[in-house]
Amino acid sequence: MSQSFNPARYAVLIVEDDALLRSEAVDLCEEAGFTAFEARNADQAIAMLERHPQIRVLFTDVEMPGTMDGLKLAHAVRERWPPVTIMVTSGRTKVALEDMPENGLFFAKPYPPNGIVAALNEIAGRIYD
Amino acid sequence: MIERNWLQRRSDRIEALRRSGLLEGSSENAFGSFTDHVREVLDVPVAIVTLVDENRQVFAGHSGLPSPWDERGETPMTHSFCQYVVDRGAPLSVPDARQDDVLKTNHAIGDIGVIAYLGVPLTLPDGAVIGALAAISDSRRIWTDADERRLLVIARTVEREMAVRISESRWRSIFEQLAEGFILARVLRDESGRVVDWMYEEVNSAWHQLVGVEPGMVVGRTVREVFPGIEDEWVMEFADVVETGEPIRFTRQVGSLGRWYDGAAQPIGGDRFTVIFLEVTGRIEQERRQTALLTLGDDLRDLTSVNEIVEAASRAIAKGVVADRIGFGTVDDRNETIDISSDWCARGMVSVTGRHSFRSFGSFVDDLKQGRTVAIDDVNTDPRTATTAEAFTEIQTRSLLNLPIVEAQRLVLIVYAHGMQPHAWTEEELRFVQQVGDSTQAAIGRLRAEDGRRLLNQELAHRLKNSLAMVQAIATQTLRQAQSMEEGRDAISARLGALARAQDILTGTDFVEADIIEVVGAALAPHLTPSRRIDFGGPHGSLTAQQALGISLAIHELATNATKYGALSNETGRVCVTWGEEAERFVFRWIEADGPPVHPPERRGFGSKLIERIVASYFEGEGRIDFDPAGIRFQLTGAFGHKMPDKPA
Repeated sequence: MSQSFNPARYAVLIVEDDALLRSEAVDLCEEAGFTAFEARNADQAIAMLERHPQIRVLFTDVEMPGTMDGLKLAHAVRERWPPVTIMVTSGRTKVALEDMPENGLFFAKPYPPNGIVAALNEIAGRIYD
Repeated sequence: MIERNWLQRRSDRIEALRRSGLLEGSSENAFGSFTDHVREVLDVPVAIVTLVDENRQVFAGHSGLPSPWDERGETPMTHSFCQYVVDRGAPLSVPDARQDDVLKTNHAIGDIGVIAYLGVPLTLPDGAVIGALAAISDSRRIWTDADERRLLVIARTVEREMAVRISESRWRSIFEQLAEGFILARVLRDESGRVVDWMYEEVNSAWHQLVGVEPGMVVGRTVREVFPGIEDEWVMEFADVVETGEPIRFTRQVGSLGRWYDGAAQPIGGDRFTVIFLEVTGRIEQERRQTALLTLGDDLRDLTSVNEIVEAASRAIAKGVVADRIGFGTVDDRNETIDISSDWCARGMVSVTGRHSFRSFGSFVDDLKQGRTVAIDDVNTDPRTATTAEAFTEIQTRSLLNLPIVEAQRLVLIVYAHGMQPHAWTEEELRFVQQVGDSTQAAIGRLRAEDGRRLLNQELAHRLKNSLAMVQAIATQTLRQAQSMEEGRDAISARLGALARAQDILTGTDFVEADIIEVVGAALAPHLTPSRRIDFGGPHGSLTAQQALGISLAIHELATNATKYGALSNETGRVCVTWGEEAERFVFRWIEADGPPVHPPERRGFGSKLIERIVASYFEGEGRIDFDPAGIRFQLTGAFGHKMPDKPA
């Protein structure tokens, strides 16, 4: 890829049912230079992914209303959209390693904003390469 | 005076006679050898040993008595000469009764042919005169002193024999009245001299009761014949008693009888030994049940699943109750079925693993559903199962015990014990099963409480994390827009204060819901003034935790703005807060009036984002701020309370 990196061409999909937390995550992603899409649950998330191929990062909470929780969603995304980088966050004490999709990143809630921004920057770097 | 003494003596001797036990054996002519001897020595045709009872005299021995007296073995007092010997306590010599003033009317003369009579008293060791030894002739005879002396000598021998018999019969009666079973036995040896069996020589009546074998069926037979397949220990240990000459104590079961015995075996010389024992089945079973309960208690302490607990309960039942099949199954109480994955079966008993419908086995499931233990002695006669007895025949069941395990008023599990034979369940067995049931129920209760506590802990940790995430989001977003550190700090602490007030209300309801009146009241409280410039009202209604936090934050933002720029910033402005249902939607309104003229802000900050977007999303609806020059108006429209799908905040 010879063109220069413009992260805004790539998007992060934030899946979080709490609007306050979602809005905070959107700010963080935008801070890192990404475009942010929002979804309140897994169904909305899948629809977003289908509609917006520029989504390269999934940032999802585990606990969500609806038929699919964040981990199931992460596995489904890993299956259907292998290039999408997966970031999982949860308020639960621990998410077992074997429950995480391959190469998934885990952030315990409340997550450090700088950590998220740093991780997004690194992902952006990889996409550029 | 004399009369009374005589009567007293008479009743004393009759009592002594009856107590002696000599009357019981009298029909056997036990003293016949002595009367034979009297006939020889005195050369008389008839001799008798009489026992003088109240209204009769009994022949304890007789020789030469004419029929039918020899067979009757007794006469009425009208035929008794001996009564006079007994009354006098001295010999009576009668040469010719027909010429005796007292005796000439006695019926013995005509009926038995008593003419000459020589009688001497028979005295027991305690001095009671109980009868006479008499020589009788059918013709006149003058008795000599030598005749009387000889008769007295024989009488002494009769008395000694009587004393021996009395003592023996006393021992025998003790032996027979003993509550303990008693055995006199002799070991039997093979050619090499090894003891292989033993034979019953004598048993007492208690033995029959304790062992349950008919009298007359045992003496002369060996223990291996009487109890085929009896445990070898019952032979070998008693063989040791004979071989070593050492007594032993034992507590052991006769398996074929299902009964336990506790006793002692004692060598008595040669190949003989005695055994004295009691049945202790009840005690042994009680001990076994106690041990089973203790073990169950230990087991239950460490178990962490309902299945393990019920399995332990089944093990306890198997130890404490005699049954041919024991197991447990999971109940579907709506369909009235039970699923059994495995069970323990005695030899010859079929397994009942699989799914079964309760109703095909009668109506006792109704009792189980009430949490009542079901004990059926015989399925053929119990009204709950009599009509379905065939179903039980198929699974070889005649008696049954079902212990229900109930959770939250629902029958969830059953522990069962089945018997191939009818079995009268004892009170002890039922009490035991009830205790097992109570312990099991308590253990499951403890497990559920632990589960609940664990869940609550996880839930609390989760909510705490969520709250912290909210705090963090509020803090970062507030700071992002703050003009100065001081402004940011104040805004953060004010917003967290609003959050905390809503949390206070939620704490009282386990963080599940809150009444909107309380939430609005608490959120407005810091802004209320004595001049009552804020009016609020609306119906009671349930808010989710998230909605409560959201409304509290929204009111905080609106009130703060009103205090700075709006209706609460001058002396005349008013605020009206209302909420309620309109067209099946939840509507919340904040309306300001009489404040300074309103100018739309140049920059929309986190506050308005919070109000319009974030809080509105908690209601699955929308929020809109209208910067009307006459006063700010805010309207939130959305779904009420728990109607919206949500997770606990």
